[in-house]
Amino acid sequence: MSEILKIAIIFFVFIVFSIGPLSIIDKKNKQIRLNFLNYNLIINLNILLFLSLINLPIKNYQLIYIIILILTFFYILHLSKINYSHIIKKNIINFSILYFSFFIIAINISSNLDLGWDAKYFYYIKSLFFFEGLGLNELGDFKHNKWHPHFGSYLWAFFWSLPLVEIEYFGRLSYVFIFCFSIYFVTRLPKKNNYSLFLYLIILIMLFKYNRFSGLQEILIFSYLAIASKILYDLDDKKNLLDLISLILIINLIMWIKAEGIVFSIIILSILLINTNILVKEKVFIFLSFMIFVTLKYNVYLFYDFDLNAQPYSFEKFFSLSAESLYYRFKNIFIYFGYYSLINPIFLIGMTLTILLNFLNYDKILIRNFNIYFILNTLFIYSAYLLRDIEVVYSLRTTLERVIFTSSGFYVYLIILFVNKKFEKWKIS
Amino acid sequence: MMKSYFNYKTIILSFLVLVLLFLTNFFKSFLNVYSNNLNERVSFTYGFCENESIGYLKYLKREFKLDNNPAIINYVHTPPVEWSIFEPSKLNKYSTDTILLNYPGEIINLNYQKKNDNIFEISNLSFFINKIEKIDSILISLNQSINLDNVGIDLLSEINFGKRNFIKNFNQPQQTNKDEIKFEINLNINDLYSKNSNIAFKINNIDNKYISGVKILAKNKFILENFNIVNNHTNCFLIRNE
Repeated sequence: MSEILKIAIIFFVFIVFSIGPLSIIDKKNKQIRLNFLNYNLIINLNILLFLSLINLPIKNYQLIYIIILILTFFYILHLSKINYSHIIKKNIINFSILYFSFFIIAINISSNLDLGWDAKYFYYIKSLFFFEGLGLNELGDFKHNKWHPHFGSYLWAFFWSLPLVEIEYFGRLSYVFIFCFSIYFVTRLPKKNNYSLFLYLIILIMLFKYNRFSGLQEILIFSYLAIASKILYDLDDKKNLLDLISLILIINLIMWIKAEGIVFSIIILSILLINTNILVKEKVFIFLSFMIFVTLKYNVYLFYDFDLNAQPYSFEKFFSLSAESLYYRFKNIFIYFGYYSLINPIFLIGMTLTILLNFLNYDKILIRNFNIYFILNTLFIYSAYLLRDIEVVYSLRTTLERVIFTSSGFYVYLIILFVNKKFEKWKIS
Repeated sequence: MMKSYFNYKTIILSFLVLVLLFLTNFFKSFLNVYSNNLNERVSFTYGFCENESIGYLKYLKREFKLDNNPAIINYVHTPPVEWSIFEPSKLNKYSTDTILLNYPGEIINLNYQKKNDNIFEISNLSFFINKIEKIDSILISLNQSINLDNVGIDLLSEINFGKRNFIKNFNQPQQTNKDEIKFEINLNINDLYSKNSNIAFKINNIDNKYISGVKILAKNKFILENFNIVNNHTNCFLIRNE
């Protein structure tokens, strides 16, 4: 089978992870429920994460897992007794746009192939462990395993090792799917189909860069932050237990992708805990779930003898810095933070809107969520580089652009909401 | 009929899809994937025996039975290349094979960046740690003869909070010929690297306008005649410990 044909087909394998186990069909409106596509994706990714932790070789369950999802989907479809042709007709344009945008980006990746520096250094090699049927036991012996958690590499290996495919970059195409899906999810506005599609394509055009899909993991956290941002906002409007659970599961996923994921998890948790629309017992449930996930991660690291403290941060060194040295760090963080914010349109617009929101008569939920995010995210960036035990300018030059990109994911939905409010009088729908 | 299909929404959507197509170089990429297989595209992307030389590494893996995971020494500063032939099941096992990429010969001319005030910076010391034992000498080419009294070189540390600290001074230049002076410095790289990720040399008491070139030289750790050469392609070698 030619590579192009495989690329054309692989989208349908990815979409399988969104169509089960929960039913995606809204029987009443005869529509596909986008929220449920999202829940399914997050649930399935958490199941894959769990399977990776118990050291089950991918090949042992991969096909069975995919077949079960497909069968579940058709069984639910059969039970729902709805007219397929109606659903297909109603969703064909949306599906085509999502499909072709994925295909266009996938072709670019299959032609380019170049891996990012960190991908060559450890992400690819970690994924090779899983590809060859090895697991966390063996990964502990790889000296660069310590830098970041394994889940992004595991996902890469899962789709790389699909039967009849077994080509490295197909694993990375799963990142493209998650990215496209997250942008599609956040740009979807009720009763504004065409307008949503315009926004989807515009955001995709603004964000696409080959490097984001070169095996680096920032794109995954970016995508989950974008999804989390929308769910957090919608919670105030219409609280739903599945939304809460999906946020908790997103918090869990983010922790297993990159070391700094835990910080983004804590930021999402803080926004949830401050939300006045969530009951105290729900907050206790959310907090306990978070603690269970953190404890689980800690114990997995202990069990597999992974380095818990590999990141180059030092409080001791920080407290021994002279005032002059501290000023030097502070000044450089300010300069580089400013520069990288300016060259990332989503981050720049998002930050500006967050500040402006406080002076505009906008809804309070928006102001609260994005103010908390803005403050905690800025604090995180500053403290990360103040505490880093590496020459600060070198460190800023090599990593801050990616940190800003990751952080910008949360602002995508703010921009969508703002554009929607500003231009709703256009009434394109 | 025409009107219902070609309304302004369709035009905007088509326009945006076209922008995405051109932004991602879709047609060029499509042609590349259609007309070249994966191995060919890998060689186009990374080079065969140049830069990362992934094409050569993949070739070695295909054609030779490599002993475990060989050490790979690339004399051109690129991202890591070990990933391309790595075998996880052979992790941490000793290999008798070594692969040399972009081999420069027995003497290595260390890359540096020229800064202001006759400062020459070797910005990534870790790159040389597996290629040389020590930095042997510095050669300074001159436009005209100068008085060598007081001419010297300061060795400076990595930048700590915006400035470099003085480590050592070399003040015994040898006139190798009319237009060239040489400093034998014999700096052990392991002594330097543990404390500094980069270093700099500052040339004192020579006006910048008289300096036509500077070479920082070191002897290669790998002398080919000491090894069994299993395969060679231009400057790339697979060598084996005898």
